Amino acid sequence: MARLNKILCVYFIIIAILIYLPIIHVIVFSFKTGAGISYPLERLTLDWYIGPTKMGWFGGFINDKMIVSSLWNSLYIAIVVMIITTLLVTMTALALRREFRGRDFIFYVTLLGFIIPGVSLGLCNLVLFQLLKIPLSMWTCVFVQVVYAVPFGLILMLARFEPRLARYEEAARLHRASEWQVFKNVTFPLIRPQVLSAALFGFVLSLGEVVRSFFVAPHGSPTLPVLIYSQLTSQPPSPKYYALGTVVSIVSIVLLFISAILLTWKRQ
Amino acid sequence: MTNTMMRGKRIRKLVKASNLFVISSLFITIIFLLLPFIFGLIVSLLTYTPGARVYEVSFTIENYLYALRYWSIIYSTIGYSLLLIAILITLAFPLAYFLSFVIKSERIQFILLFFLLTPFLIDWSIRMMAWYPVLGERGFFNYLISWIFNSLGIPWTPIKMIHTSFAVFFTWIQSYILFMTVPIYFAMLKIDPILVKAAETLRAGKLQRFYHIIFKLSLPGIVVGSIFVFVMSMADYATPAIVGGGFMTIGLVIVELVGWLLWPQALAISLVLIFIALAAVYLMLKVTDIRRLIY
Repeated sequence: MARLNKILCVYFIIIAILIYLPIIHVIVFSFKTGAGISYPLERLTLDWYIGPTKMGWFGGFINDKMIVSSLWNSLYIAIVVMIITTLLVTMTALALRREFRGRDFIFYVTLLGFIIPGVSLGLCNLVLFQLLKIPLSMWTCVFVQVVYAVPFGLILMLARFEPRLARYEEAARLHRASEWQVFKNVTFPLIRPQVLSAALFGFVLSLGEVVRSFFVAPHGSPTLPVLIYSQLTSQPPSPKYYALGTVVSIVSIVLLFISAILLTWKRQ
Repeated sequence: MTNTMMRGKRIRKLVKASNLFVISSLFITIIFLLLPFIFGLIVSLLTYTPGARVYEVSFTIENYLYALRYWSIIYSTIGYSLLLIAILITLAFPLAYFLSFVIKSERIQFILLFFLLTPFLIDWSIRMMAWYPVLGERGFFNYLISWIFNSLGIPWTPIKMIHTSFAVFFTWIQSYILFMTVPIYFAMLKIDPILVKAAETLRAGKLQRFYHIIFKLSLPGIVVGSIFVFVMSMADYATPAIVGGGFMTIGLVIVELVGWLLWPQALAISLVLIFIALAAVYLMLKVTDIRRLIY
Protein backbone atom coordinates (compact mmCIF):
# COMPACT_ATOMS: atom_id res chain seq x y z
CA MET A 1 0.00 0.00 0.00
CA ALA A 2 2.83 2.36 0.83
CA ARG A 3 4.38 1.67 -2.55
CA LEU A 4 1.13 2.48 -4.31
CA ASN A 5 0.95 5.77 -2.43
CA LYS A 6 4.49 6.62 -3.53
CA ILE A 7 3.65 5.87 -7.15
CA LEU A 8 0.55 8.06 -6.89
CA CYS A 9 2.61 10.84 -5.39
CA VAL A 10 5.06 10.74 -8.31
CA TYR A 11 2.10 10.63 -10.67
CA PHE A 12 0.65 13.74 -9.05
CA ILE A 13 3.95 15.58 -9.53
CA ILE A 14 4.09 14.58 -13.21
CA ILE A 15 0.54 15.83 -13.80
CA ALA A 16 1.32 19.06 -11.96
CA ILE A 17 4.36 19.61 -14.21
CA LEU A 18 2.20 18.91 -17.27
CA ILE A 19 -0.38 21.43 -16.08
CA TYR A 20 2.20 24.12 -15.34
CA LEU A 21 4.30 23.53 -18.48
CA PRO A 22 2.44 25.99 -20.76
CA ILE A 23 2.25 28.90 -18.37
CA ILE A 24 5.91 28.58 -17.39
CA HIS A 25 6.87 28.69 -21.06
CA VAL A 26 4.79 31.78 -21.67
CA ILE A 27 6.64 33.54 -18.87
CA VAL A 28 10.10 32.31 -19.89
CA PHE A 29 9.72 33.17 -23.57
CA SER A 30 8.48 36.66 -22.85
CA PHE A 31 12.03 37.55 -21.74
CA LYS A 32 13.80 35.93 -24.68
CA THR A 33 15.96 37.87 -27.11
CA GLY A 34 15.38 37.26 -30.82
CA ALA A 35 12.11 36.64 -32.59
CA GLY A 36 12.24 32.82 -32.81
CA ILE A 37 10.01 30.92 -30.41
CA SER A 38 12.47 28.10 -29.74
CA TYR A 39 15.18 26.87 -27.41
CA PRO A 40 17.94 27.57 -26.45
CA LEU A 41 17.56 30.79 -24.54
CA GLU A 42 20.51 33.15 -24.77
CA ARG A 43 19.99 36.47 -23.05
CA LEU A 44 17.03 37.98 -21.29
CA THR A 45 15.39 41.24 -22.30
CA LEU A 46 12.42 43.44 -21.47
CA ASP A 47 12.01 44.58 -25.09
CA TRP A 48 8.79 42.64 -25.55
CA TYR A 49 7.25 44.51 -22.65
CA ILE A 50 8.24 48.13 -23.11
CA GLY A 51 10.44 48.33 -26.21
CA PRO A 52 9.51 50.73 -29.04
CA THR A 53 7.42 49.28 -31.87
CA LYS A 54 9.31 48.31 -35.05
CA MET A 55 7.70 46.86 -38.17
CA GLY A 56 4.58 45.81 -36.27
CA TRP A 57 6.29 42.63 -35.11
CA PHE A 58 9.04 43.84 -32.79
CA GLY A 59 8.60 46.01 -29.74
CA GLY A 60 6.77 46.05 -26.47
CA PHE A 61 3.13 45.11 -26.23
CA ILE A 62 2.22 48.27 -24.34
CA ASN A 63 3.05 50.24 -27.48
CA ASP A 64 0.77 48.08 -29.66
CA LYS A 65 -2.54 49.94 -29.93
CA MET A 66 -4.50 46.87 -31.05
CA ILE A 67 -3.38 44.82 -28.04
CA VAL A 68 -4.02 47.58 -25.53
CA SER A 69 -7.49 48.39 -26.86
CA SER A 70 -8.51 44.72 -26.96
CA LEU A 71 -7.22 44.30 -23.41
CA TRP A 72 -9.46 47.15 -22.23
CA ASN A 73 -12.37 45.71 -24.25
CA SER A 74 -11.94 42.35 -22.54
CA LEU A 75 -11.69 43.82 -19.07
CA TYR A 76 -14.73 46.01 -19.62
CA ILE A 77 -16.79 43.10 -20.95
CA ALA A 78 -15.60 40.80 -18.15
CA ILE A 79 -16.62 43.27 -15.46
CA VAL A 80 -20.08 43.81 -16.98
CA VAL A 81 -20.55 40.05 -17.40
CA MET A 82 -19.45 39.51 -13.82
CA ILE A 83 -21.99 41.98 -12.44
CA ILE A 84 -24.92 40.69 -14.53
CA THR A 85 -24.04 37.03 -13.90
CA THR A 86 -23.73 37.53 -10.15
CA LEU A 87 -27.10 39.25 -9.87
CA LEU A 88 -28.88 36.69 -12.04
CA VAL A 89 -27.26 33.65 -10.46
CA THR A 90 -27.91 34.78 -6.91
CA MET A 91 -31.55 35.57 -7.48
CA THR A 92 -32.22 32.50 -9.62
CA ALA A 93 -30.55 30.20 -7.13
CA LEU A 94 -32.49 31.71 -4.21
CA ALA A 95 -35.77 31.38 -6.11
CA LEU A 96 -35.07 27.81 -7.25
CA ARG A 97 -35.06 26.62 -3.65
CA ARG A 98 -38.83 27.04 -3.54
CA GLU A 99 -41.27 24.80 -5.36
CA PHE A 100 -43.15 26.62 -8.08
CA ARG A 101 -44.54 25.90 -11.49
CA GLY A 102 -41.89 26.05 -14.18
CA ARG A 103 -39.03 25.52 -11.75
CA ASP A 104 -37.58 22.55 -13.60
CA PHE A 105 -38.08 24.37 -16.89
CA ILE A 106 -36.02 27.33 -15.69
CA PHE A 107 -33.30 25.07 -14.34
CA TYR A 108 -32.94 23.01 -17.50
CA VAL A 109 -33.19 25.95 -19.90
CA THR A 110 -30.45 27.70 -17.94
CA LEU A 111 -28.25 24.60 -18.11
CA LEU A 112 -28.70 24.51 -21.90
CA GLY A 113 -26.39 27.51 -22.07
CA PHE A 114 -23.57 25.17 -21.17
CA ILE A 115 -24.70 22.00 -22.94
CA ILE A 116 -25.29 23.54 -26.37
CA PRO A 117 -21.92 23.51 -28.19
CA GLY A 118 -20.30 26.95 -28.21
CA VAL A 119 -19.66 26.98 -31.92
CA SER A 120 -23.35 26.33 -32.66
CA LEU A 121 -24.57 28.95 -30.21
CA GLY A 122 -22.09 31.53 -31.49
CA LEU A 123 -23.14 30.98 -35.09
CA CYS A 124 -26.87 31.01 -34.29
CA ASN A 125 -26.43 34.30 -32.42
CA LEU A 126 -24.47 35.78 -35.31
CA VAL A 127 -27.29 34.85 -37.72
CA LEU A 128 -29.85 36.34 -35.35
CA PHE A 129 -27.96 39.64 -35.11
CA GLN A 130 -27.48 39.74 -38.87
CA LEU A 131 -31.14 39.12 -39.67
CA LEU A 132 -32.40 41.61 -37.10
CA LYS A 133 -29.73 44.09 -38.30
CA ILE A 134 -28.24 44.44 -34.81
CA PRO A 135 -24.64 45.66 -35.18
CA LEU A 136 -22.03 43.57 -33.38
CA SER A 137 -20.82 45.39 -30.30
CA MET A 138 -19.54 44.83 -26.78
CA TRP A 139 -23.10 44.17 -25.67
CA THR A 140 -23.66 41.29 -28.06
CA CYS A 141 -20.51 39.76 -26.55
CA VAL A 142 -21.68 40.48 -23.03
CA PHE A 143 -25.00 38.71 -23.33
CA VAL A 144 -23.70 35.71 -25.21
CA GLN A 145 -21.11 35.28 -22.45
CA VAL A 146 -23.71 35.74 -19.70
CA VAL A 147 -25.72 32.83 -21.13
CA TYR A 148 -22.51 30.77 -20.92
CA ALA A 149 -21.45 31.87 -17.43
CA VAL A 150 -24.81 31.61 -15.63
CA PRO A 151 -25.11 27.78 -15.63
CA PHE A 152 -21.66 27.38 -14.06
CA GLY A 153 -22.42 29.87 -11.33
CA LEU A 154 -25.85 28.38 -10.71
CA ILE A 155 -24.56 24.84 -10.19
CA LEU A 156 -21.73 26.15 -8.04
CA MET A 157 -24.18 28.05 -5.89
CA LEU A 158 -26.90 25.40 -5.59
CA ALA A 159 -24.35 22.76 -4.62
CA ARG A 160 -22.93 24.83 -1.78
CA PHE A 161 -25.90 26.46 -0.08
CA GLU A 162 -25.93 26.46 3.69
CA PRO A 163 -28.45 23.71 4.52
CA ARG A 164 -30.16 25.63 7.33
CA LEU A 165 -30.54 28.82 5.29
CA ALA A 166 -34.33 28.51 4.85
CA ARG A 167 -34.83 27.98 8.59
CA TYR A 168 -32.82 31.08 9.52
CA GLU A 169 -34.86 33.12 7.05
CA GLU A 170 -38.09 31.76 8.51
CA ALA A 171 -36.92 32.71 11.99
CA ALA A 172 -36.22 36.26 10.84
CA ARG A 173 -39.66 36.47 9.23
CA LEU A 174 -41.28 35.31 12.46
CA HIS A 175 -39.62 38.32 14.07
CA ARG A 176 -41.42 40.50 11.54
CA ALA A 177 -38.42 41.36 9.44
CA SER A 178 -39.38 42.70 6.02
CA GLU A 179 -38.32 40.74 2.95
CA TRP A 180 -35.53 43.24 2.26
CA GLN A 181 -34.31 43.06 5.87
CA VAL A 182 -34.30 39.27 5.69
CA PHE A 183 -32.22 39.40 2.55
CA LYS A 184 -29.83 42.06 3.81
CA ASN A 185 -29.27 40.76 7.33
CA VAL A 186 -29.76 36.99 7.08
CA THR A 187 -29.62 35.57 3.57
CA PHE A 188 -26.86 37.63 2.03
CA PRO A 189 -24.28 37.28 4.84
CA LEU A 190 -24.84 33.50 4.76
CA ILE A 191 -24.40 33.14 1.02
CA ARG A 192 -21.66 35.74 0.55
CA PRO A 193 -18.88 33.19 -0.20
CA GLN A 194 -21.03 31.59 -2.91
CA VAL A 195 -21.90 34.98 -4.38
CA LEU A 196 -18.23 35.93 -4.47
CA SER A 197 -17.24 32.67 -6.12
CA ALA A 198 -20.00 33.05 -8.71
CA ALA A 199 -18.70 36.54 -9.46
CA LEU A 200 -15.18 35.18 -9.78
CA PHE A 201 -16.36 32.47 -12.15
CA GLY A 202 -18.25 34.96 -14.28
CA PHE A 203 -15.16 37.15 -14.56
CA VAL A 204 -12.74 34.34 -15.36
CA LEU A 205 -15.06 32.62 -17.86
CA SER A 206 -15.74 35.88 -19.64
CA LEU A 207 -12.10 36.92 -19.77
CA GLY A 208 -11.06 33.66 -21.43
CA GLU A 209 -14.04 33.03 -23.69
CA VAL A 210 -13.06 32.62 -27.34
CA VAL A 211 -15.30 30.04 -29.04
CA ARG A 212 -18.48 32.15 -28.83
CA SER A 213 -16.90 35.61 -28.88
CA PHE A 214 -15.09 34.77 -32.11
CA PHE A 215 -18.47 34.95 -33.88
CA VAL A 216 -20.07 37.90 -32.11
CA ALA A 217 -17.10 40.16 -31.31
CA PRO A 218 -17.17 43.40 -33.30
CA HIS A 219 -14.72 43.45 -36.20
CA GLY A 220 -11.89 45.90 -35.71
CA SER A 221 -12.07 45.88 -31.92
CA PRO A 222 -11.98 42.24 -30.83
CA THR A 223 -11.62 40.94 -27.30
CA LEU A 224 -8.17 39.85 -26.17
CA PRO A 225 -8.70 36.07 -26.58
CA VAL A 226 -10.13 36.56 -30.05
CA LEU A 227 -7.15 38.70 -31.03
CA ILE A 228 -4.69 36.12 -29.67
CA TYR A 229 -6.58 33.30 -31.37
CA SER A 230 -6.44 35.02 -34.74
CA GLN A 231 -2.69 35.63 -34.23
CA LEU A 232 -2.07 32.01 -33.26
CA THR A 233 -3.65 30.03 -36.06
CA SER A 234 -0.95 28.13 -37.94
CA GLN A 235 2.08 30.28 -36.96
CA PRO A 236 3.91 31.31 -33.79
CA PRO A 237 2.96 34.82 -32.69
CA SER A 238 5.31 37.71 -31.97
CA PRO A 239 6.97 37.31 -28.55
CA LYS A 240 5.23 40.46 -27.39
CA TYR A 241 2.10 38.33 -27.02
CA TYR A 242 4.03 36.23 -24.52
CA ALA A 243 4.89 39.36 -22.58
CA LEU A 244 1.24 40.34 -22.64
CA GLY A 245 0.28 36.84 -21.50
CA THR A 246 2.75 37.03 -18.62
CA VAL A 247 1.35 40.31 -17.35
CA VAL A 248 -2.29 39.20 -17.66
CA SER A 249 -1.53 35.86 -15.98
CA ILE A 250 0.34 37.33 -13.05
CA VAL A 251 -2.27 40.03 -12.45
CA SER A 252 -5.14 37.53 -12.59
CA ILE A 253 -3.36 35.03 -10.33
CA VAL A 254 -2.69 37.72 -7.74
CA LEU A 255 -6.31 38.91 -7.90
CA LEU A 256 -7.58 35.34 -7.58
CA PHE A 257 -5.36 34.63 -4.61
CA ILE A 258 -6.63 37.73 -2.88
CA SER A 259 -10.22 36.73 -3.50
CA ALA A 260 -9.55 33.14 -2.41
CA ILE A 261 -8.09 34.43 0.83
CA LEU A 262 -11.10 36.70 1.29
CA LEU A 263 -13.41 33.74 0.63
CA THR A 264 -11.89 31.49 3.26
CA TRP A 265 -11.30 34.32 5.68
CA LYS A 266 -14.93 35.48 5.71
CA ARG A 267 -16.22 32.00 6.40
CA GLN A 268 -14.60 31.71 9.80
CA MET B 1 -63.40 44.56 -4.62
CA THR B 2 -61.86 41.36 -3.38
CA ASN B 3 -60.98 40.70 -6.95
CA THR B 4 -58.91 43.87 -7.34
CA MET B 5 -57.26 43.24 -3.99
CA MET B 6 -56.30 39.78 -5.09
CA ARG B 7 -54.97 41.08 -8.36
CA GLY B 8 -52.94 43.71 -6.53
CA LYS B 9 -51.51 41.01 -4.30
CA ARG B 10 -50.67 38.86 -7.25
CA ILE B 11 -48.89 41.70 -9.00
CA ARG B 12 -46.96 42.55 -5.86
CA LYS B 13 -45.99 38.90 -5.58
CA LEU B 14 -44.79 38.86 -9.16
CA VAL B 15 -42.79 42.03 -8.76
CA LYS B 16 -41.00 40.70 -5.71
CA ALA B 17 -37.31 41.21 -6.35
CA SER B 18 -36.31 37.57 -6.64
CA ASN B 19 -39.03 36.74 -9.12
CA LEU B 20 -38.06 39.75 -11.16
CA PHE B 21 -34.53 38.42 -11.43
CA VAL B 22 -35.69 34.95 -12.34
CA ILE B 23 -37.83 36.45 -15.06
CA SER B 24 -34.98 38.58 -16.37
CA SER B 25 -32.64 35.59 -16.23
CA LEU B 26 -35.13 33.58 -18.23
CA PHE B 27 -35.56 36.55 -20.55
CA ILE B 28 -31.84 36.72 -21.33
CA THR B 29 -31.67 32.97 -21.80
CA ILE B 30 -34.64 33.01 -24.13
CA ILE B 31 -33.40 35.94 -26.21
CA PHE B 32 -29.81 34.83 -26.53
CA LEU B 33 -30.26 31.06 -26.43
CA LEU B 34 -33.68 29.89 -27.58
CA LEU B 35 -34.35 32.68 -30.06
CA PRO B 36 -31.03 32.21 -31.90
CA PHE B 37 -31.71 28.49 -31.90
CA ILE B 38 -35.12 28.97 -33.52
CA PHE B 39 -33.74 31.50 -36.02
CA GLY B 40 -30.91 29.11 -36.81
CA LEU B 41 -33.38 26.28 -37.34
CA ILE B 42 -35.46 28.39 -39.74
CA VAL B 43 -32.50 29.77 -41.69
CA SER B 44 -31.02 26.30 -42.01
CA LEU B 45 -34.21 25.28 -43.83
CA LEU B 46 -34.20 28.22 -46.25
CA THR B 47 -32.98 28.30 -49.81
CA TYR B 48 -29.94 30.52 -50.10
CA THR B 49 -28.02 32.04 -52.97
CA PRO B 50 -24.41 32.44 -51.75
CA GLY B 51 -23.33 35.04 -54.33
CA ALA B 52 -26.26 37.36 -53.81
CA ARG B 53 -26.46 36.63 -50.05
CA VAL B 54 -30.24 36.46 -50.23
CA TYR B 55 -32.53 34.10 -48.40
CA GLU B 56 -35.59 32.94 -50.26
CA VAL B 57 -38.59 32.00 -48.20
CA SER B 58 -38.95 28.54 -49.62
CA PHE B 59 -38.24 25.61 -47.40
CA THR B 60 -35.81 22.94 -48.38
CA ILE B 61 -33.79 20.22 -46.73
CA GLU B 62 -30.96 20.73 -49.19
CA ASN B 63 -28.73 22.22 -46.49
CA TYR B 64 -29.08 19.11 -44.39
CA LEU B 65 -28.26 16.95 -47.39
CA TYR B 66 -25.17 19.13 -47.79
CA ALA B 67 -24.37 18.55 -44.12
CA LEU B 68 -24.55 14.80 -44.74
CA ARG B 69 -21.43 15.13 -46.91
CA TYR B 70 -19.52 15.84 -43.73
CA TRP B 71 -20.91 12.79 -42.00
CA SER B 72 -17.51 11.10 -41.83
CA ILE B 73 -16.05 14.15 -40.04
CA ILE B 74 -18.96 14.27 -37.58
CA TYR B 75 -18.42 10.59 -36.98
CA SER B 76 -14.69 10.91 -36.40
CA THR B 77 -15.15 13.97 -34.16
CA ILE B 78 -17.44 11.95 -31.91
CA GLY B 79 -14.84 9.18 -31.99
CA TYR B 80 -12.07 11.59 -30.95
CA SER B 81 -14.20 12.90 -28.09
CA LEU B 82 -14.96 9.40 -26.82
CA LEU B 83 -11.30 8.43 -27.07
CA LEU B 84 -10.38 11.60 -25.18
CA ILE B 85 -12.94 10.76 -22.48
CA ALA B 86 -11.47 7.27 -22.10
CA ILE B 87 -7.92 8.67 -21.81
CA LEU B 88 -9.00 11.31 -19.33
CA ILE B 89 -10.91 8.88 -17.10
CA THR B 90 -7.78 6.73 -16.94
CA LEU B 91 -5.57 9.71 -16.14
CA ALA B 92 -7.94 11.53 -13.79
CA PHE B 93 -9.08 8.59 -11.69
CA PRO B 94 -5.73 7.96 -9.97
CA LEU B 95 -5.32 11.70 -9.49
CA ALA B 96 -8.71 12.05 -7.80
CA TYR B 97 -7.99 8.92 -5.75
CA PHE B 98 -4.68 10.40 -4.63
CA LEU B 99 -6.32 13.66 -3.59
CA SER B 100 -9.25 12.17 -1.73
CA PHE B 101 -7.90 8.93 -0.20
CA VAL B 102 -4.12 9.19 0.05
CA ILE B 103 -4.01 12.78 1.34
CA LYS B 104 -5.67 12.59 4.71
CA SER B 105 -5.81 16.27 5.71
CA GLU B 106 -8.67 18.18 4.13
CA ARG B 107 -6.66 21.38 4.24
CA ILE B 108 -3.82 19.91 2.21
CA GLN B 109 -6.34 18.44 -0.24
CA PHE B 110 -7.76 21.90 -0.75
CA ILE B 111 -4.33 23.47 -1.18
CA LEU B 112 -3.23 20.84 -3.72
CA LEU B 113 -6.47 21.22 -5.66
CA PHE B 114 -6.10 24.98 -5.72
CA PHE B 115 -2.50 24.56 -6.83
CA LEU B 116 -3.63 22.43 -9.78
CA LEU B 117 -6.51 24.78 -10.61
CA THR B 118 -4.51 28.01 -10.63
CA PRO B 119 -3.25 27.79 -14.25
CA PHE B 120 -6.82 27.17 -15.41
CA LEU B 121 -7.93 30.51 -14.09
CA ILE B 122 -5.66 32.10 -16.67
CA ASP B 123 -6.99 32.98 -20.07
CA TRP B 124 -7.22 29.88 -22.26
CA SER B 125 -5.75 31.62 -25.30
CA ILE B 126 -2.65 32.62 -23.34
CA ARG B 127 -2.05 28.99 -22.46
CA MET B 128 -2.47 28.10 -26.12
CA MET B 129 0.48 30.33 -27.08
CA ALA B 130 2.75 28.11 -25.05
CA TRP B 131 2.40 25.09 -27.30
CA TYR B 132 4.84 26.53 -29.82
CA PRO B 133 7.74 26.62 -27.34
CA VAL B 134 6.64 23.34 -25.72
CA LEU B 135 5.89 21.14 -28.72
CA GLY B 136 7.74 23.01 -31.48
CA GLU B 137 10.51 21.58 -33.64
CA ARG B 138 13.07 23.19 -31.34
CA GLY B 139 10.74 23.33 -28.36
CA PHE B 140 10.93 21.94 -24.84
CA PHE B 141 10.21 18.28 -25.53
CA ASN B 142 12.41 17.99 -28.58
CA TYR B 143 15.20 19.84 -26.82
CA LEU B 144 14.91 17.62 -23.76
CA ILE B 145 14.81 14.37 -25.72
CA SER B 146 17.69 15.31 -27.99
CA TRP B 147 19.76 16.45 -25.00
CA ILE B 148 19.19 13.07 -23.30
CA PHE B 149 19.98 11.12 -26.46
CA ASN B 150 23.04 13.19 -27.31
CA SER B 151 24.50 12.77 -23.85
CA LEU B 152 24.03 9.01 -24.29
CA GLY B 153 25.87 9.31 -27.58
CA ILE B 154 22.92 8.37 -29.79
CA PRO B 155 22.17 10.62 -32.76
CA TRP B 156 18.69 12.09 -32.71
CA THR B 157 16.77 14.25 -35.14
CA PRO B 158 13.88 16.33 -33.77
CA ILE B 159 10.43 14.91 -34.46
CA LYS B 160 7.47 16.95 -35.62
CA MET B 161 5.07 17.38 -32.72
CA ILE B 162 3.12 20.58 -33.23
CA HIS B 163 0.62 20.54 -36.11
CA THR B 164 -0.08 16.84 -35.67
CA SER B 165 -2.98 14.94 -34.14
CA PHE B 166 -0.68 14.09 -31.22
CA ALA B 167 -0.47 17.81 -30.41
CA VAL B 168 -4.26 18.15 -30.48
CA PHE B 169 -4.73 15.28 -28.04
CA PHE B 170 -1.89 16.46 -25.82
CA THR B 171 -3.41 19.94 -25.67
CA TRP B 172 -6.88 18.58 -25.00
CA ILE B 173 -5.57 16.39 -22.19
CA GLN B 174 -3.82 19.35 -20.60
CA SER B 175 -6.87 21.60 -20.98
CA TYR B 176 -9.54 19.20 -19.79
CA ILE B 177 -7.90 16.92 -17.23
CA LEU B 178 -9.18 18.92 -14.28
CA PHE B 179 -12.72 19.04 -15.68
CA MET B 180 -12.61 15.27 -15.23
CA THR B 181 -10.62 15.18 -11.98
CA VAL B 182 -12.64 17.67 -9.95
CA PRO B 183 -16.08 15.97 -10.33
CA ILE B 184 -14.55 12.53 -9.58
CA TYR B 185 -12.80 14.05 -6.57
CA PHE B 186 -16.07 15.48 -5.25
CA ALA B 187 -17.82 12.14 -5.77
CA MET B 188 -15.01 10.35 -3.92
CA LEU B 189 -15.21 12.81 -1.02
CA LYS B 190 -18.74 11.54 -0.39
CA ILE B 191 -17.64 7.91 -0.09
CA ASP B 192 -17.69 6.87 3.53
CA PRO B 193 -14.36 5.12 4.36
CA ILE B 194 -16.34 2.81 6.67
CA LEU B 195 -17.80 1.16 3.56
CA VAL B 196 -14.32 0.07 2.48
CA LYS B 197 -13.66 -1.28 5.98
CA ALA B 198 -16.99 -3.11 5.95
CA ALA B 199 -16.19 -4.71 2.62
CA GLU B 200 -12.83 -5.77 4.02
CA THR B 201 -14.54 -7.37 7.01
CA LEU B 202 -16.86 -9.18 4.63
CA ARG B 203 -13.77 -10.57 2.90
CA ALA B 204 -14.08 -8.74 -0.37
CA GLY B 205 -10.85 -8.88 -2.35
CA LYS B 206 -8.86 -5.79 -3.26
CA LEU B 207 -10.33 -5.63 -6.76
CA GLN B 208 -13.86 -6.26 -5.54
CA ARG B 209 -13.54 -3.49 -2.98
CA PHE B 210 -12.22 -1.13 -5.62
CA TYR B 211 -14.89 -1.97 -8.18
CA HIS B 212 -17.99 -2.25 -5.99
CA ILE B 213 -17.30 0.66 -3.70
CA ILE B 214 -14.81 3.17 -5.02
CA PHE B 215 -15.56 2.84 -8.72
CA LYS B 216 -19.34 2.50 -8.50
CA LEU B 217 -19.74 5.34 -6.03
CA SER B 218 -17.58 7.71 -8.04
CA LEU B 219 -19.62 7.01 -11.18
CA PRO B 220 -21.65 10.25 -10.85
CA GLY B 221 -18.39 12.19 -10.91
CA ILE B 222 -17.18 10.27 -13.95
CA VAL B 223 -20.44 11.01 -15.74
CA VAL B 224 -20.36 14.73 -14.97
CA GLY B 225 -16.72 14.92 -16.05
CA SER B 226 -17.50 13.04 -19.25
CA ILE B 227 -20.32 15.45 -20.06
CA PHE B 228 -17.98 18.41 -19.57
CA VAL B 229 -15.28 16.89 -21.75
CA PHE B 230 -17.64 15.65 -24.45
CA VAL B 231 -19.48 18.93 -24.86
CA MET B 232 -16.31 21.02 -24.89
CA SER B 233 -14.08 18.82 -27.04
CA MET B 234 -16.72 17.98 -29.64
CA ALA B 235 -17.43 21.61 -30.47
CA ASP B 236 -13.84 22.78 -30.15
CA TYR B 237 -12.44 24.31 -33.29
CA ALA B 238 -9.79 26.55 -31.77
CA THR B 239 -7.41 23.83 -30.56
CA PRO B 240 -7.24 21.97 -33.90
CA ALA B 241 -6.96 25.28 -35.73
CA ILE B 242 -3.94 26.30 -33.66
CA VAL B 243 -2.01 23.08 -33.09
CA GLY B 244 -3.78 20.63 -35.40
CA GLY B 245 -2.28 21.26 -38.80
CA GLY B 246 -5.00 19.65 -40.88
CA PHE B 247 -6.64 17.79 -38.00
CA MET B 248 -10.31 18.11 -38.93
CA THR B 249 -13.14 18.37 -36.45
CA ILE B 250 -16.71 19.31 -37.21
CA GLY B 251 -16.31 22.65 -35.41
CA LEU B 252 -13.55 23.57 -37.84
CA VAL B 253 -15.81 22.63 -40.76
CA ILE B 254 -18.48 24.99 -39.44
CA VAL B 255 -15.99 27.86 -39.13
CA GLU B 256 -14.73 27.21 -42.67
CA LEU B 257 -18.25 27.17 -44.10
CA VAL B 258 -18.98 30.46 -42.34
CA GLY B 259 -15.83 31.84 -43.94
CA TRP B 260 -17.11 30.75 -47.36
CA LEU B 261 -20.44 32.47 -46.57
CA LEU B 262 -22.33 29.18 -46.74
CA TRP B 263 -24.32 30.09 -43.65
CA PRO B 264 -27.39 27.86 -43.97
CA GLN B 265 -25.14 24.86 -44.55
CA ALA B 266 -23.03 25.77 -41.52
CA LEU B 267 -26.20 26.24 -39.49
CA ALA B 268 -27.50 22.84 -40.55
CA ILE B 269 -24.32 21.22 -39.28
CA SER B 270 -24.41 23.21 -36.03
CA LEU B 271 -27.98 22.13 -35.38
CA VAL B 272 -27.00 18.50 -35.95
CA LEU B 273 -24.20 19.14 -33.46
CA ILE B 274 -26.66 20.55 -30.91
CA PHE B 275 -28.84 17.46 -31.19
CA ILE B 276 -25.87 15.14 -30.84
CA ALA B 277 -24.76 17.01 -27.71
CA LEU B 278 -28.25 16.89 -26.19
CA ALA B 279 -28.63 13.20 -27.01
CA ALA B 280 -25.21 12.41 -25.54
CA VAL B 281 -25.95 14.29 -22.33
CA TYR B 282 -29.32 12.56 -22.08
CA LEU B 283 -27.72 9.13 -22.53
CA MET B 284 -24.99 9.87 -20.00
CA LEU B 285 -27.54 11.01 -17.44
CA LYS B 286 -29.24 7.64 -17.87
CA VAL B 287 -26.12 5.90 -16.58
CA THR B 288 -26.36 7.35 -13.12
CA ASP B 289 -28.14 9.89 -10.99
CA ILE B 290 -25.90 12.95 -10.88
CA ARG B 291 -28.12 14.68 -8.36
CA ARG B 292 -26.22 12.65 -5.78
CA LEU B 293 -23.27 14.90 -6.54
CA ILE B 294 -25.12 18.15 -5.91
CA TYR B 295 -27.15 17.32 -2.82
